[in-house]
Amino acid sequence: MEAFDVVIVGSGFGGSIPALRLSQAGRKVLVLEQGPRTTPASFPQDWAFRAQAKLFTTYTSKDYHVILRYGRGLGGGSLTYAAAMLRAPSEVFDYRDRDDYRVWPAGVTREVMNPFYAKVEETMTVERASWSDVPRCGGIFAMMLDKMGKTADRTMYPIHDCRQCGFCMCGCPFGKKKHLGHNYIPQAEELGAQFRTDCKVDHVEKDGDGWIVRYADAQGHARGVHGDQLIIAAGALETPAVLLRSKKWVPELHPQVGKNLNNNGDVAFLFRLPPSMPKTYPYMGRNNAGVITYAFWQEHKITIHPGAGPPALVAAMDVFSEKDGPKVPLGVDFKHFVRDQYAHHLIPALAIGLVDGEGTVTVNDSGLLEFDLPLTERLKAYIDRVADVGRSIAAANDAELLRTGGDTFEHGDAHPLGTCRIGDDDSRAPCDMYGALRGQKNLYITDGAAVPGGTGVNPSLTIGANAERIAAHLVGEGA
Amino acid sequence: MNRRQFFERMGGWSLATLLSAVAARADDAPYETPGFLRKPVPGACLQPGTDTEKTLTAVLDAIVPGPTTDPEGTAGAVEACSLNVLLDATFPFLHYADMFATIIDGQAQDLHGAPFLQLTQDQRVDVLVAVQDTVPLLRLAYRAIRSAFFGGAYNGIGLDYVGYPGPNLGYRHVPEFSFRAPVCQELTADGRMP
Repeated sequence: MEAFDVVIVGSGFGGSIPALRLSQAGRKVLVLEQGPRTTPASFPQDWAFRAQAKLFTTYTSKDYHVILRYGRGLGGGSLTYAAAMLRAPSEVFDYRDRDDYRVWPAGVTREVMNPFYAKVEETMTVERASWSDVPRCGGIFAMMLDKMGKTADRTMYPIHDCRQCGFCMCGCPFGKKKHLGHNYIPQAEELGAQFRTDCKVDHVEKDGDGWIVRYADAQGHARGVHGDQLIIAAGALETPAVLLRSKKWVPELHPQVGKNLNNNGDVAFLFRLPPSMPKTYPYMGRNNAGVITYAFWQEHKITIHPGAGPPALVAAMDVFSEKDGPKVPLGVDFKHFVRDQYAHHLIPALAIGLVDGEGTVTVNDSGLLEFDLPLTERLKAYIDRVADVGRSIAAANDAELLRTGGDTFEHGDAHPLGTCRIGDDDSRAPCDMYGALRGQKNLYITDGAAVPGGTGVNPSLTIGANAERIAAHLVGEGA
Repeated sequence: MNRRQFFERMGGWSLATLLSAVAARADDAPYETPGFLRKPVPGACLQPGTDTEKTLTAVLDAIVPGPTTDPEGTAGAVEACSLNVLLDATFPFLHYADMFATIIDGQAQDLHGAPFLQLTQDQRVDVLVAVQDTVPLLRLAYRAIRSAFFGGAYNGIGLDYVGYPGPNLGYRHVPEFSFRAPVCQELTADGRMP
């Protein structure tokens, strides 16, 4: 059987970053990615499901209320992220849940994370957008806050010379948005790391103090490979699923694997602007529309950013009006509403905040992934707080807040976290502060599954910085 | 302004316009990406044949009304080939088509005493709203149908309807794209919250 020092499952932030750092330390590394290698031509400007299905694996919750997806392809979620890369505010690391449990390990603070944030920013070439890069709907959102005497900050991106076509989340067809295939992955490959694509991992088995990873290769042939160390970084949905499918071979699996699924506090909504305001053109420009407001962070622990979004996404949401607009997203009223409002008077927005992870990932008898993200009373209260903030912005601008979701819960669908979280409490957190899965030897979790709670902002930079931190520990650099 | 000044100004303006156009083309040229900078090519619409498919076609028409049910007479989900969403094997709904039609017809009978096909547009919407709580998968199907229309999954009818240009070479040179100047105070100096 083939053998490597380290086998890594998944090539997103949690996989490719350790792949580079471990390769730099002289380790023989193999990365298995279930999706294909991509080129800019792999990213059609197409929001239709059949095109999206090539870029994402999509799951719906058992009650069909929530859709979650993760990126497929070498580079994982970085291929199709909106690319806002922001440091989580300090308070994120102090967050305590409903049981007064500090979800981040005491040894992981913003100060500890700063050098690792800097490493990812440097490697990914993250920079602040200029005002000329802020699309119109982002600019109008900032003007709305300005009118309230509030602030909005330009966002940080690894995007340079952006063409502003509005298809970031389909993958950048112009190669302007940097993903892991532009930096970490080629650097790791240069050092000898192997990245195998179209390889679907089924489960893992103990092999002495190491591990065997069982997977199907691009031709569908069953394969096995040994790793002295194993890193699972297949995303917050698939990482616990791989482990849960492995129970037969890892019977003493930590009982919290798959628990604590956190939606990062994502709540999508829209602002409907009065005709007197400038036209929004929400299809022009990068999908994360250039600015974010921290103005409500101090009081509510909520950030909000506008999104340049195509009508396919806007119309797919269960949008409803609390005033004189459509009450249900069906029929003539809704059709006319989208036509009359979309191109000129709507600003899609996403609130992100701190919530408890109350969802669960499981696998069924066939080994297929399932998840639940219940609309708990706590989550409802949080969503109502988001709505209150949104209404205050709308009211100050003679605009209307349009809520989304069948039960006022439209999940942002892109930021699942926490299903194999790190933490100090052995019974609550499957992983220790360095991502080591408790009860196992030489098995680490380094992706969004390890990030123990909401990040207050888009989480990719924090996932990457946490992976850098764990990788530094693995190569003996401490942290 | 005399005649000479007028032509000088016009000439200057024209030259500037021409240069900026050339600059834009030169800028765009390295990124020619044939094959996807166009709206979707109309494909084949699946046509209703069975009773189930006729009921589902009426469901589509209730979700995004077409020429016969929209007072403005514009195309809707049926014309956007959205029946494909429900009957195409690449989607998860195919296996549930009969179940959907049966349950929707049952709900129509319960609420309005007639099969779905015989209901008015408002009654159909009532039924669809009511039945989604009984069959949550329908909520997902409604979203997929709306998204197929407004997202141009099978043709460009929905894109044109909302004024969405779709595939493009980028808007950065379009004057309306950005205000290109600070429009708000910022909280942080470097974009990073402490």
